[in-house]
Order: sequence, then C-alpha cells, then structure tokens
Amino acid sequence: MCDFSGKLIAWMDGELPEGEATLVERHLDGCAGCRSRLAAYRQASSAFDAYCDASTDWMSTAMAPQARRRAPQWRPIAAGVAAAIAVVVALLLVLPSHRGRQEPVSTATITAPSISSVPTQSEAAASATTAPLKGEVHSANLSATRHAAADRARVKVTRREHLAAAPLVRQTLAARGPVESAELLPARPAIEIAIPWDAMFPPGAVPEGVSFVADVTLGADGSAERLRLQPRLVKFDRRATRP
Amino acid sequence: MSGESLSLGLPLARLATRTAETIILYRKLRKPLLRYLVSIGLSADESQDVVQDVFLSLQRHLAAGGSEENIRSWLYRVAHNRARNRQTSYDRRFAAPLDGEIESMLDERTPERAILEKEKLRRLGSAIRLLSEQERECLLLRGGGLRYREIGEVLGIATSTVGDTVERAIKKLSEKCNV
Repeated sequence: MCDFSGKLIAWMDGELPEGEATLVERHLDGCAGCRSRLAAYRQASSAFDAYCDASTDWMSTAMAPQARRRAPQWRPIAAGVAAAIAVVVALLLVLPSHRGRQEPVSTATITAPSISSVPTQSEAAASATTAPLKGEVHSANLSATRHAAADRARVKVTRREHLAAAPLVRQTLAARGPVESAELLPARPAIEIAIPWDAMFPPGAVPEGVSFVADVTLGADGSAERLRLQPRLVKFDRRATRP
Repeated sequence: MSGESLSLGLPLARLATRTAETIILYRKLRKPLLRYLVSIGLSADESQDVVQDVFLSLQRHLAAGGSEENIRSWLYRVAHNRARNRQTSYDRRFAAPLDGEIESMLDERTPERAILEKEKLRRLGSAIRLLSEQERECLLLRGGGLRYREIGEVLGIATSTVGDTVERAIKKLSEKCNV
C-alpha cells in the first residue's frame, strides 16, 4: 500500500490543505491501486449514508402511529411558531414609542428576508424604521396589551394554501390608539401579522382549517418566558381577501 | 419620540432578522438533525422533541446576544447533548438486528434503496454495529455535511482525531462489507 493511501479519505472529504490535495490528485492519476481504494471508500461512505437515511425513514414510518397518539401533528413546528411569535413580541415593544407621536402614525412594516436573499441587519433596520406600510394582511392577527410586569401577545396563524407564493414572512405593525389594559383592547387588532404556513410547517403537518393561538408572556428583558400553543378549528378568514 | 422609536427599532429589526434566519435554518436543518438523532438511538418521537427544544434554545441563544457564528455546528452540539441526556435510549439504535429497516430499504416505496442487495445490507448493518460509538457519530455528522472541525466541536474531540476516526470507520466498513 503506497504512502498516499492514508490521505485518500481526507482528500475525498476536502479536508486536505491545497498543496497536499494537489499531490494526492497527481498521485491518483498514476496509481490504479489508490483509485480502486478511493472508489471502495466512496461506496462505503455512500452505503452508510443510505443505510442511515433508510433507518430514519423506517423509524419515522414505524413510529408514526405512536407519535400521532402522543403528540399532535403540528407539534414539530412549535419552534417555528415560537420564532415567529418572537418577532411579534419584538414588534410589541415598539408600540409605546409610536403611541407618543403627535402626528398619526398609521403603519410601519418590517419585511423579513426571503430564503434566497437575506438582507443585512442594517437593511432590515432601515426597513423597520422608514419603510411605509404596503403589506397585505392575510391570515393572522394579534391583539396585545401591556401589563405592569409582562407583555402578553396573541398570535393566530392559519394555514392558507395561497400564501405559498407570498414572501417568507410578512409582518405588519399597525399602531392604533393607546392600550391601557386588557379591558380596553381595541376592537380591531393592534398588530396584524401574516406568516405563510409553509414557511414554518412541514408539508401535511397542519390539517386544513386548523389555526394556532399562542399566548406568550414576556420577561422584563423582552425574552419569551412562557409560551402556550393551542390549536383551533377556524372558518375561512375573510380578512385574508380584503384589499 | 422619534429618537426613541429609532433606538427601539434597530434592535427589533435585528431580532426580526435573526428570527427569520432561525425559521430558514429550521426548514433547512430539521431533517438532517432528525436523521442524526434517530441514527444515534432516539425514537422518532424523541427526535422530534429534541429538535423542537434545540430550535427554541437557538431562539433564546440569539435573543440573549449569543454568538451567531457557526450556528449549524451549535445546533448539532446542542442536539447531541440533549440526546446524551436521554441516555436510556442512546445505545439501543444499533444494538439489535435491523431486519425491519432492511425490508424497508428494499420496499417498493423506496426504489432508490433497492439497488443495495439484501445480503450486502445485512453485512453493512453488522459492520455498522461493530463500529465504535465515536466512529458512528463521526460518520453521521460527516453525512450531515459537517466539516471535521465542526464534528470535533460537536463531539468535543480534536480535529485530527476526527480525521483519524473517520478514516478508520470508512476502512472498516469498506473491508467488512466489501461494498
């Protein structure tokens, strides 16, 4: 076995420094034994990956009935929902500053990045602070009120097929009148947020007509201290089609 | 007031950006993480729970101003540690014959797997069971697209050790399976 055989796997994985990699490549051109070994290593590597993929598929299939009994289908996406809620929570914090303005401030918007184009933080900041509202409210709404020690937010995310072509996340903040307490909640949502269901939910995870209501409690530092998700069956949300 | 709005808006925009990035990461890495967790011994149900926990931890990590560097490695490391905490299920994955999985791999629903013959699969399964735990984990993380350095971070071992372990594991599989 030649001296290069010990470097074949590292070379295959692209882990060798450029100079060493070049030497290995030159050696492979002239060494049939190493080419054969490399092919065997590649085959073993692929077989291992395929075996583990099949194991995962098999486990998922075998465990699916039990998993459905133990957890709702939408449970795997709780993290995604929580992440979206964090955005809403963040938007809540900006409300007081808007309330204090003398001139009516109707709207502000933050448009989250798409998968193919993630804006820089400065771009997102510019969007958050200066962009006019052009967002269309689709399927979710949020009502919020401030308490002495904590903020509570309510988010509803509804599965809507037509949102698949929408931006990944479209959030709309509509600053309305001052909100003093839970009893004085505005008739219309103070904040409306639209999140395409397929941005967070795996295919088939959310049955048609099911939405989620999330209650989140904020700590003094703005982090989410408590999160409670509840599924709800909803009728068609007509607000989604309003101009 | 506008000054207050501006000072509040900038961190909020950063948080919004991070949250969107978390969602993108969730979509991209959920399946590879599930594959890793299932392969090291967690049930599908446990794996789903761990993945949820991991992404919620990521959200808290970013909200608390944690490092945004090498998030993929961070996710695998947290998932690995959470799996370790479920030690009762950790060793069972490759402890028993995997006939059901082999049948599944040859099933018509997975024709791409059927190219591997049954006897070879049995030998492969036996060879995988003979690998050490560290060898299996290195190969699994490598299959998840992690670099040797990242694998070392997840498992808490040196990069050179990862290289040696991967090489040893691949050679074992290659020799014992003749695949």
